[in-house]
Amino acid sequence: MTNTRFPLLSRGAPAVTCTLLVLVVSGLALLGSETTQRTATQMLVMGVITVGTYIFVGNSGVLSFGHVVFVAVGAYATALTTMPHALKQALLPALPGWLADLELALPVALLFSGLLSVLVAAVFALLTLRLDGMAAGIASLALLISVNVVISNWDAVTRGSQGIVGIPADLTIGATVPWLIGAIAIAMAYQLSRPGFRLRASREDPVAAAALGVRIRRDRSIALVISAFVCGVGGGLYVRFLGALTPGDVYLQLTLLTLLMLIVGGIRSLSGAVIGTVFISVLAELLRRIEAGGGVGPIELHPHPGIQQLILALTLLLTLLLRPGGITSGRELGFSLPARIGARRKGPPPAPAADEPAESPSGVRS
Amino acid sequence: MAQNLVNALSLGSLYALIALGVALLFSIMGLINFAHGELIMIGGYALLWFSSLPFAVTAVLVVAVVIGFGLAMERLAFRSVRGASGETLLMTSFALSLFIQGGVLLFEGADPKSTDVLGNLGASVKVAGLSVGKLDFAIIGVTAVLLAGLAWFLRATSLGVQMRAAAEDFTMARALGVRANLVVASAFGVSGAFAGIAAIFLVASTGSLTPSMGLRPVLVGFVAIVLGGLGRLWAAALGAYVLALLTVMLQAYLPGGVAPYQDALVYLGIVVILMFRPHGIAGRPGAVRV
Repeated sequence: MTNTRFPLLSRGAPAVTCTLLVLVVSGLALLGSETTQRTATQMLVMGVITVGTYIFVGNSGVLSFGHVVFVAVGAYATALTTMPHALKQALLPALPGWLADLELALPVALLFSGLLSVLVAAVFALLTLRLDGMAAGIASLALLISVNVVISNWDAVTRGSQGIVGIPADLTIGATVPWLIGAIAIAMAYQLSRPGFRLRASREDPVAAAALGVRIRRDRSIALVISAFVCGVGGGLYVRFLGALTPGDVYLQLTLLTLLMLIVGGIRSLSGAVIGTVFISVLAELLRRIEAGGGVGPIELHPHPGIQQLILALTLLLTLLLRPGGITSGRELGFSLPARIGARRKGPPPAPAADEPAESPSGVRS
Repeated sequence: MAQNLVNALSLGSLYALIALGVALLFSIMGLINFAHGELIMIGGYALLWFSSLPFAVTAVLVVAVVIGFGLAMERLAFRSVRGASGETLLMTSFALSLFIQGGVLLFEGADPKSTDVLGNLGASVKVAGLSVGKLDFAIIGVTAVLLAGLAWFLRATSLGVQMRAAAEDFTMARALGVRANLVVASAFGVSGAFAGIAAIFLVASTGSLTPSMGLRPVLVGFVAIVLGGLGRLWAAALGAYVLALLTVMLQAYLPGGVAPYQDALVYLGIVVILMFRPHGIAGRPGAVRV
């Protein structure tokens, strides 16, 4: 199935295609106005969060409403470690001394945020990994609510529902793209690794997979941890994009947006996560402009609050009713290398076939 | 203490109305209906639209509107995904709930509206040294009647028996001549009626309306179902009362410092219960389990 001369490039092709897509869209946005650039930055940040969620949800087939918890942890961690010292003292006088003095560079803070999310994911894993299907959905939703209640009331650290302000909002397209490419690379590497194959096997048929010796809970934990790391980093980026953070920013609205992107794009493939992010971001921005009123091209519009939510929900609904697999329906966006042997016929297989053991993931980065 | 019990009984009755609406659909078609909250929200707004009419007429109209919405939901959205995986059903109901919210946002705006439906029901009377609101009496009484009515409907009518059969084994029931569309549509109808009545009581006790007001009740419904057991109606009602008791007691006896975290404790408790009993306290393992 794979190209014999460049097996890794061939199997990692979806990651390359996704990266190219991201680069093209970002490049186009760089030509646009400041608003367009901000929207594109938001899209890239959402991309990190969506790809992070995909790593667990897509590969395991277990629906999670709880991944925004990792985003929240990452967001608060980055906010608290990158805010100017003086501002932090003014806003959060009750902060423990070491945390008040801590001021990290953004990349360090983001990695730290990711690791902190991994710790939270370990607790998550203990609590929810026995569950599938609807029970998993409800349990993860319950955890999201619990964490949100804690964030909303922990005045000493999060400033409760007032939220934290004055976080440097200096994220640019150029600064975000590498992180999204990194997230795509991690997702691809995981997808091509042995645990990734095993987890997808358990997604297709848990009983058969278990009979073949797949320890589903262990493989789910691995995916959850990687997924939490990426989501934590995404949360850090998100807060640097927003510049202010209230508990409501990392709650149901964001959960919905992530799931919307995943499902419309196609929850069962990495390409789906990336395409969904781009598609929904563009659609949401168009709708936002319609909602705000004024002129969109030649058309004059009145403000219509609610239109965005209405159309986005309709998009999700129509996707579920008419094309339940999303835009990609589980396929990856690959490409054929010219030197390949035994060219594939029309219609690529739904997922990389598990016909040979994966290489060490380190070589897949594009 | 006795006062708290009365409060818990009243709150539990409201929760039970909500939980039964959610549980009915879950037991028949495996659907966790997020949009149930939006049915309640629609009911609230319908109360506002018809508030100039005499109360009895308003109440009937509200329930009729909500039932209509429930049936429309079934016909337009859920019928196409019937039999799909639980996740797909859940996401469909999620999308539907957002859609309805967006629609109400568009026509009614995001600002909270207030209404005073039950005027004199706000008063309370003294019973054996306890102050009990007339509204509490109404909620407890109406819920008791509805629970009894539902029990009678499910046991004594042909449609009810068909619904129970479908809840037991949908495929088998169809093979034996139960008409799927009829059973599912009537389940949505009953669910809608419960949502409409719950909406009246909810709005009567809070007095305010927002497009996002459906979230809290529907979460309460889920929690009650999980507590009681996924897929069992009476357990869901029981779960609702337990949840209400838990909420009222936590509110009354939690020390001041922890009090804001009450909801966190409740939901964390749910997760822990699910961890040990993935099918709820009274749930049947094997039904969904692989």
